[in-house]
Amino acid sequence: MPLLELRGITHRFGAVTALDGVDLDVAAGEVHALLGENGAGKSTLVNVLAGGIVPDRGEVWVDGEVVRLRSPADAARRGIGMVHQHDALVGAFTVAENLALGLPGAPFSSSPGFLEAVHRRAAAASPLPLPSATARTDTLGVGERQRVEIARAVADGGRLLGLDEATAVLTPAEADALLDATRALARDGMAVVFITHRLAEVERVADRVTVLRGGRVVHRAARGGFDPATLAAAMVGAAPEPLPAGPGRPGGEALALVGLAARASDASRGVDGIDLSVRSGEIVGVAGVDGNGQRSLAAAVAGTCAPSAGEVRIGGRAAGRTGPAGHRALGLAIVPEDRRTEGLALDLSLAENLLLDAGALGGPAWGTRAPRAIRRAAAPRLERFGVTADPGARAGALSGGNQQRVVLARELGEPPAALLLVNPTRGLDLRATAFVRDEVRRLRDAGAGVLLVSTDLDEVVELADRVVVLSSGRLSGPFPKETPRAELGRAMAGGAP
Amino acid sequence: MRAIFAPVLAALAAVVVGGGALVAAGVDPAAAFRSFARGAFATRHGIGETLVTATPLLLCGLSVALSFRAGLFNIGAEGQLLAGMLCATAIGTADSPAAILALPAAALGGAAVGALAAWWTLRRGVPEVLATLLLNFVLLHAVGVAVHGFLQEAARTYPQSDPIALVARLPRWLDGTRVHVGVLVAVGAALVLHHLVERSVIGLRWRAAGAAPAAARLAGFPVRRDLLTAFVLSGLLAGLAGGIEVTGVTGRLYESPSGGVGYAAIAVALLGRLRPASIVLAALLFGALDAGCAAMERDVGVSHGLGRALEGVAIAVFLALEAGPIRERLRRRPAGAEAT
Repeated sequence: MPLLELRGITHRFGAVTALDGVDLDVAAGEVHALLGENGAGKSTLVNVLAGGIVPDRGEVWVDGEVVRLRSPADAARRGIGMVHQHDALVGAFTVAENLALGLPGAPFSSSPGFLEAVHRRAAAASPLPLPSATARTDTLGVGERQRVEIARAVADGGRLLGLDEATAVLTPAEADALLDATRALARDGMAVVFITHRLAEVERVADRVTVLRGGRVVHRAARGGFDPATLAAAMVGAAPEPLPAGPGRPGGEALALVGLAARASDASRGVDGIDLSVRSGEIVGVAGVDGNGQRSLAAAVAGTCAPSAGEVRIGGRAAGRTGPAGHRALGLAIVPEDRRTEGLALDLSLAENLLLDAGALGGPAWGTRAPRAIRRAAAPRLERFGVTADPGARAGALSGGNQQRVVLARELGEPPAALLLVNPTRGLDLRATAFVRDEVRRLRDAGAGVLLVSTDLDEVVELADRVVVLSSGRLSGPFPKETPRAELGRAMAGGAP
Repeated sequence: MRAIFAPVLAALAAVVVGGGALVAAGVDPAAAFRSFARGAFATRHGIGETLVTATPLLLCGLSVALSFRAGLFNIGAEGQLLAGMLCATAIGTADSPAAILALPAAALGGAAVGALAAWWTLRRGVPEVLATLLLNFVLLHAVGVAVHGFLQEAARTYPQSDPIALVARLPRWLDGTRVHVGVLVAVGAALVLHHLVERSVIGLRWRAAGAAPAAARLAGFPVRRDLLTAFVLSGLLAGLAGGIEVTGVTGRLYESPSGGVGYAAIAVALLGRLRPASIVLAALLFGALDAGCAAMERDVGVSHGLGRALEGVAIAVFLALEAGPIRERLRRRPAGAEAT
């Protein structure tokens, strides 16, 4: 009898089906890997396991009976512990205090003796050396903090451990130790759900693997039956490659990154040694799994983050440290990743949002921009991009698709020489997605150089004339767009072909 | 419509609750409200008192609103107002024709304190709430030092300054009231600020920085410079309020001269939904409350604290009606440290 079994789990977020009839079972003493790209539904499934999400449909069985896991505490009572991508420790608390959190009576008995006993039990159960009981967790490194979380999950009756992309934040040596520890836990009878997008890790630790794509199980295999090519193809999808609207006719250099190194202040990973040239009339797609340096790359190109080495050239001229205003002045348009915070000011009107561009707004600072005049000027441009709402409407009142149309109306209204797009269709429905892609192709055909950074491989393959892959902050490629997806998938997963 | 509805309902609630409180205090509410009306708006003198009281509230409310619209939780109007009073007194009591420059000096003093808070916030990454709040205390005690020391009256009797020179006094223009030309200055400031915030290039940049700092940055706006400008202009408005108070009303600098106008102005600005035109109304409402309660205190022996309590009720009702929008604003706190 499996320790835990999921049957027909279906869950929707609004119009998006995150999980669609997923079955999964885990037995004591085995490592069950869950493989998939971003957006495949892994995190949602993990949240179902951990009690963070009660699914719309489907059953969760523990020890042969149906249960409802309503909260992480519920899951913990049944011995299910989870280590998430971003740690859930209280930074100002010590290691022992964090371990004690959630234990019965913890808020009322935090005597040194109690805490020491908690730490001792956790250290005994932990497969990895545990940091000292009295160290504040915000003074620890990422790997050490993770060990605290693992210890918390496996101590005091933990029977099932979920590791969500646990190696993504670790150094190679730490990751190695974690993989060994995972095997050791399974040998001792622990059930482990190991979520990853790295094929090599699956081959190394997993007894069985389940591959998710688009919220469905697309492939299952057991140890001995792992075939890297099959797994990669299952993960990234073997759908027939859609034909592009026609190849670009590349001209001169529109945008170039020369020996670029940068790290955005809000990014977990920087980029280094980036050399890439985008000619006018072509779309270069940067594929990659999220968290491999996309934020830093985009910030350096947009100008919000000054490169620590190398340079960004726009229209053949070095942008230097001129910031977004300077980059825009050289002919760059920017469609940023998060349209709700970076692309638009949701509290401002559509007409005002069309002026969130230093060049378009113009100066001097004390000059007049009468609301009625800017609304009048905005109307035809919004119409041309298919936004039917009144120019005076708040941007926050529009749907995601229409918000992106407003961003495009601003950025593409005056055709730019170069365009940076970051995950331009994330969260959009099919019609809005098609609209965005058509506009990008139209711009390319009009002679702009387009740099598309996207974690959606389908999108990159469909749109790009050339594909490069960003992995661990470095570029590989370029790959011609006919490159098999399995090969791209392996490059994305950081493995050798 | 709602912009007007909320303050009116808040005022009504204050009347109802205030009436109850008066009865509880053993005062005849009818007599008290008659006295309130005479003191606040039913007589020529009452209208004048309301206008005079509303003037610093309006200027400081505009100061707060400007910063808040740019996403800066600048609660330093109190300190900047005190800086304005200090500078106006220092220049206005000078025995020279330069005393006429008391008002510009006040504006400059407020702007300088605003600039100091800006430096702290934008350069050093100190949260603006902290930077501006701490400066309030500095200025409060600076006034104390001044009226016991270098600005104390020649007679050295009381902790107060000499009277402001006559050339620096603001002319009055309604007989039988204390209304001075500073009232017009404040209304003019509201008009200018309305234009700047709602209809100018820098106004759009301020509002973008306040609503979506990341978007303002990606747009290529000089966010850091714009926020510095907002800080300085906010300081200038509050400093002007202090200068007008000294040269138009009190005629001297006293110890603890503000009575918390700079803090009440935060409520005025929120009550006016951070819009200059509505802030004029909110300041009038608060001014009338203050003036009316002062009259009640004089005529029927109501404690002055009750006036403050009524204001509190008005604010509480307003916040209950407007909690959503205000929470939105507070949530999207742009930290100055991130701005470039």
